[in-house]
Amino acid sequence: MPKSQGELEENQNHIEDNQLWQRIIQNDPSAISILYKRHFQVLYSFGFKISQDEELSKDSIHDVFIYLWEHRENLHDVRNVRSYLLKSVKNRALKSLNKQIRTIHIDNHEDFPVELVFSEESYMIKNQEDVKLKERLNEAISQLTKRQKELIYLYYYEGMTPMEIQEVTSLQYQSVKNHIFKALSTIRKVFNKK
Amino acid sequence: MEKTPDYINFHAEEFAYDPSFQSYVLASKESDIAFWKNWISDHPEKQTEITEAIQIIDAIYARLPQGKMDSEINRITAAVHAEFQNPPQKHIHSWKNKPFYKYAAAAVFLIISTFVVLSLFNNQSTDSKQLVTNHVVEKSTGKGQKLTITLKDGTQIKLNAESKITYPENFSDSVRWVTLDGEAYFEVAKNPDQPFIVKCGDFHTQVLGTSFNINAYPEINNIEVSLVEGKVKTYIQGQKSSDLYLEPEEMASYNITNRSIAKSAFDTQKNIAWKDGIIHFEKASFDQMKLTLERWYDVKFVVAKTPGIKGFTGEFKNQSLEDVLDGISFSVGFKFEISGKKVYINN
Repeated sequence: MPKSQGELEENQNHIEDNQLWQRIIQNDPSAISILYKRHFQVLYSFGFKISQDEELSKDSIHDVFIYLWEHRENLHDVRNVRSYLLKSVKNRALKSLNKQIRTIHIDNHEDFPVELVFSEESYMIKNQEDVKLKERLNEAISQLTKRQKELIYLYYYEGMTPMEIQEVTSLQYQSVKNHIFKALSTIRKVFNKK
Repeated sequence: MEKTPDYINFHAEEFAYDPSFQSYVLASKESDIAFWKNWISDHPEKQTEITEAIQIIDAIYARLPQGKMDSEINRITAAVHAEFQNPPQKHIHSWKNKPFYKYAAAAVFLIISTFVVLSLFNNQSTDSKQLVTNHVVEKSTGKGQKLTITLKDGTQIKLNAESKITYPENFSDSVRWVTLDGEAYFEVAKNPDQPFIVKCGDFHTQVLGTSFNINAYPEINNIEVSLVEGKVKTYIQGQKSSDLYLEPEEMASYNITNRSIAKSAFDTQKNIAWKDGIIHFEKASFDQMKLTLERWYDVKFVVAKTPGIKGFTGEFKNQSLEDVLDGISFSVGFKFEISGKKVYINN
């Protein structure tokens, strides 16, 4: 049965990720597929927010996993698999973008791409409905504090538990939770305004 | 002990905060996907909160539609398996850019069960037997047995109880044929130049894409093919017009009597549970349960009067027959006695 990650001492997802990592090292191809599925959408979101390019994002993720597989014999243990994958995808995406000679402004966010995660451009506009959605999203983002964005990034992208976030920020456990909930509540309200 | 959160009282924000709910929305973990599909359909009154929770999550992530995600997963699976089976002599990096590998699938998972010809299994063999005639290999299991077989091409087959599989010892160059009676879980080594075809009588399933399950219920006169990922084609031998292609989460049911095929949706968890030692009943009649348990535990039911039940739903993982019967009889209301290989049922 699932349970709230916040209540756990240990981050179950990290443990499972590390088990999959070991299986890759031990030459088990199915572990790649499982790990891929587990993180795909988060990595894709991240790649897309950097590049605004669907194909480039997909290829970056693909290349990172191919690299892992081809170098499985020499892989080192990593403490946080999700974090490692996010960094790798970011590097790939940036490399491809540079090839395309496009100007990007992410240098400031090298290690903490908070603004990036909430970039308004991340909504592809296909129809009138999306225009409205994008406006709503912009509104929601403008109402979030920098702290809230930072915590959303750590919780939803890095996949950290409130416990772990407590360690890297100076915030208390309960305060971490409160900030995140407040942000979620703001987003919800903006989207459900009549 | 783990405790299930009080989801019934959750608001949209709490759902959006829950890691297992996120995993469902992002299609990350099979167990979460199955849990939430079930939970949401059981709690229509929470639909508004759920919809708003998904909206929140979509504001945080730019997620790709499910179909596109699946083809990406197929792509990586294919590439990795291709490399696994034919490791490059040196490190050659160009192979991964060849479009061929984008679409060539490497692993195929399928379950087929028919149990149409039950008379084949009347012998109560205690060990799986193997006959080799004319280079055709036959492997079979009795009641209460399971067997894992690895073919020369790397394909793995897990046979369920009372099942039989035959295949040529060496496949021909053009095609890999396997015939099946009963139920089996396949992990097929994919080779686009040598299609893998499973024959159940005149009903055939051909592997086209990546991962899928084939499943049929023995109790009814049906063969069922359930696709999890990728693509398969089912057809009736000799009937060109019978070709039916399946997309993920679709299932083909072949009615042996009418020789007709119908397409519908299916439940992944339910159909592959047996492989992991799980007995899964969903709105099952007493007769359906009886058949399943007789085959699973190698016993024979002696029923004085069939208990009238509306349909039993439940799951048992690696439990003894007594424990399973305890669970069922408690909710259905009958008495039972196990004596050797006989189970006596009394109302």
